[in-house]
Amino acid sequence: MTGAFLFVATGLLLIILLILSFLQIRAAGHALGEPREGDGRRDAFPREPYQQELGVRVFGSQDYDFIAKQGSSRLTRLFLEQRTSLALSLLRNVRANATRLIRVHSRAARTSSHLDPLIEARVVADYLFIQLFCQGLALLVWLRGPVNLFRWVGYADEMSKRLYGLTVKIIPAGLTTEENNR
Amino acid sequence: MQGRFERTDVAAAREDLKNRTLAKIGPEFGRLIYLASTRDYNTGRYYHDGLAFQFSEEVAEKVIAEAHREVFMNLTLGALEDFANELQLYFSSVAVEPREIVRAWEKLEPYRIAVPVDCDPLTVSLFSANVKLALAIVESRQRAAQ
Repeated sequence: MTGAFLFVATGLLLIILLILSFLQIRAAGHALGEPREGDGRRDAFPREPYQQELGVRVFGSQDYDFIAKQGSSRLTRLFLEQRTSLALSLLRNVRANATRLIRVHSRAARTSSHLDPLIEARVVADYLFIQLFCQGLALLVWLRGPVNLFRWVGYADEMSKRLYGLTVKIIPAGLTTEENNR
Repeated sequence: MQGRFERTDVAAAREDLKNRTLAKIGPEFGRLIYLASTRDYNTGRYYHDGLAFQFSEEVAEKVIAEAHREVFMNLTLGALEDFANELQLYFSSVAVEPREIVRAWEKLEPYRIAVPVDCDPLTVSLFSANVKLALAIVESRQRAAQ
């Protein structure tokens, strides 16, 4: 009975995460239909998903261990509230940067004549994975705080770097085309 | 030729600021507050008469802005324990009753002006969060010491 319940709960959770990610992809797609002046150059090189040092501080355990040693439940509660909020903002940034990358990539891909279907499929898959993964991580952070999750966030960062590496292959061609069209 | 002089000027100004001014201020928090205080709140620009006289206003502003950012980032992205210790060290260097400073900092939040311009919002949030935690820790240490 418990097993069946867990199975159903996990399935429902996955469906919710998929729906949330789908809604975000639609939002990114709608943004594509609205050409913005000068956005290509600004959006072409989105900033890093997150600063590694910030990630270490927020998702590491060193500061939590120090706070726990103070022996004050009020302090521990305050610490966890603050760091949870920061962690959720960080994860939102990672997802937002991935969406910005996809937007720029899609704009460049529309004008490119040398698209590799395999690479395009990988771009979409990586983007979806980042969204799903970060949503799942955000849920975990919301439930138990961000402490000791640095390795998982590092993984999301690696995926973001991979997505950046894939999309940047086509962006210079897209940018050049935009320049010529001005 | 002029470009080479400018780079040397900036390096020399940096050394001058580090050895003649910042070296005299012990706690990192003290350096942060000092560097923030050289900023004009109306324009956001940094002014330092000594450096400007020796080098130029542009070089002085560049060097102080860099130093301000560096001190801020080192403090904020370092360990929370070090952050709390530096804050306590700074409070003990000010000629005011520590309890008074803690109360004033909790109410007025004057540390917000110590943030450099164009800082990442998340780093700024971490700094503010750390100050609030460090104030609570300093206060409990004071209570324990009495």
